[in-house]
Amino acid sequence: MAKKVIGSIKLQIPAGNANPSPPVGPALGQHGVNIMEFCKAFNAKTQDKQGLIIPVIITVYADHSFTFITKTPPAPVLLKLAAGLEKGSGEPNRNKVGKVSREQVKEIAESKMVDLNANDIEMAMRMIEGTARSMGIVVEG
Amino acid sequence: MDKIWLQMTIPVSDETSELVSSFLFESGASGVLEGEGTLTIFFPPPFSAEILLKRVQNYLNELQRLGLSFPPQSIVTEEIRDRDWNEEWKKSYGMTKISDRILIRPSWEKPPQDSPECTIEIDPEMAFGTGTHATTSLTLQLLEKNICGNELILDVGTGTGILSIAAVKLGAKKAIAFDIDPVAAQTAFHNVMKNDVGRKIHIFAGSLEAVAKAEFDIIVANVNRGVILEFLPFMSKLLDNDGKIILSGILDREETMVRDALGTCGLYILQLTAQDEWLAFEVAKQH
Repeated sequence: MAKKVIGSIKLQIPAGNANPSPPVGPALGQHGVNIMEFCKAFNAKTQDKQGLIIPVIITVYADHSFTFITKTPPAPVLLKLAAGLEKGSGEPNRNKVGKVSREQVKEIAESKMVDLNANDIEMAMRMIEGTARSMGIVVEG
Repeated sequence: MDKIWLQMTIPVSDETSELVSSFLFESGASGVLEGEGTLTIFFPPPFSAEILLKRVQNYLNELQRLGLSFPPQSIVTEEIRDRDWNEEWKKSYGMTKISDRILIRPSWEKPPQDSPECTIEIDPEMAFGTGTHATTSLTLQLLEKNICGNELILDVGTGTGILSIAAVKLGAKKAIAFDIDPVAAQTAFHNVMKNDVGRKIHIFAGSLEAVAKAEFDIIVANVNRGVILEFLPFMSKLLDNDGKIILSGILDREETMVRDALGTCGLYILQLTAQDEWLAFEVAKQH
């Protein structure tokens, strides 16, 4: 028989760097999950993506056990990586801080397709381009 | 445990959620909790709530000028005190039997009348190693197999100190235990004292480089593949020629990578054990 689910928690945390401080501690603690066991499993599975932010969905069961799935990093994180930036623009209307090529946008869209609410790659690319504009990143080509 | 964090809850729409969370990480957030139409962000100390709030508000205004929409609710901030977030989990944490000889007992439970010789009292606080996780269980079983008496043990990434405590209770002469996380080292110290094995276990907060040159009979490392691969050559140098290394925290998909590294370091596998998706290796030097 399937175990009874008592909660679903969505977090974004740095890859390989989960620790019991907020948000992991309070979010998992209130559901009675062993926080350190989650941190060990998450860090083991994301240690090759150090430096990236990883969205993770944790399902908690009535016996306080848990499972989790990780998602692709958020589009802004991938865009900053592609543009070689540490930060996006705080004033994207006025200050353009970097640029990416259409090819890079396509690569990001392809990697994000599984998590994006897009019908096809063109739609996914338009979504990524919109995100780039909102970060002060110019799409060239 | 008495650090004060700033918790900030921001209303977001689907189209702004990722942009706002990315901006917040750039502003020093430690992580984001996603809710229905909100992001709850946590900033570690030191912080200025006023400056952060102003910064975030300016950014949201900027996104609105780009035509992006936000729900009408206001940003809510709250200061929260760090504490032992495992309190709720502890209510369901009971005794764990590892083998006929090893029993892990939470510090708040009374020992059973027929406690085995190696009964370990553990208060996990905020460190890893309670006996319930597959890697701890696998490592304890390999430790039990390898301790005959009077061994010198090195415990890499000790967490709660559970492996060192088990080692000396099973007959090892002495253990050097360390963890890079000072909170874990402190937790290990408390557990060592509770188990009355303080004379046999030396604990410090730091890294493997701080370990004085010695020839350990058993080196145990229940950490992760990255740490193991980085420090394996150094561990090998600290190992007695007839000693053993017990490695865990390795996922089954990482087996080949670890096997390759062992070969490069002149080590070979004596036994490989598995539970769930986790592996533990017992290895020795090639002669």
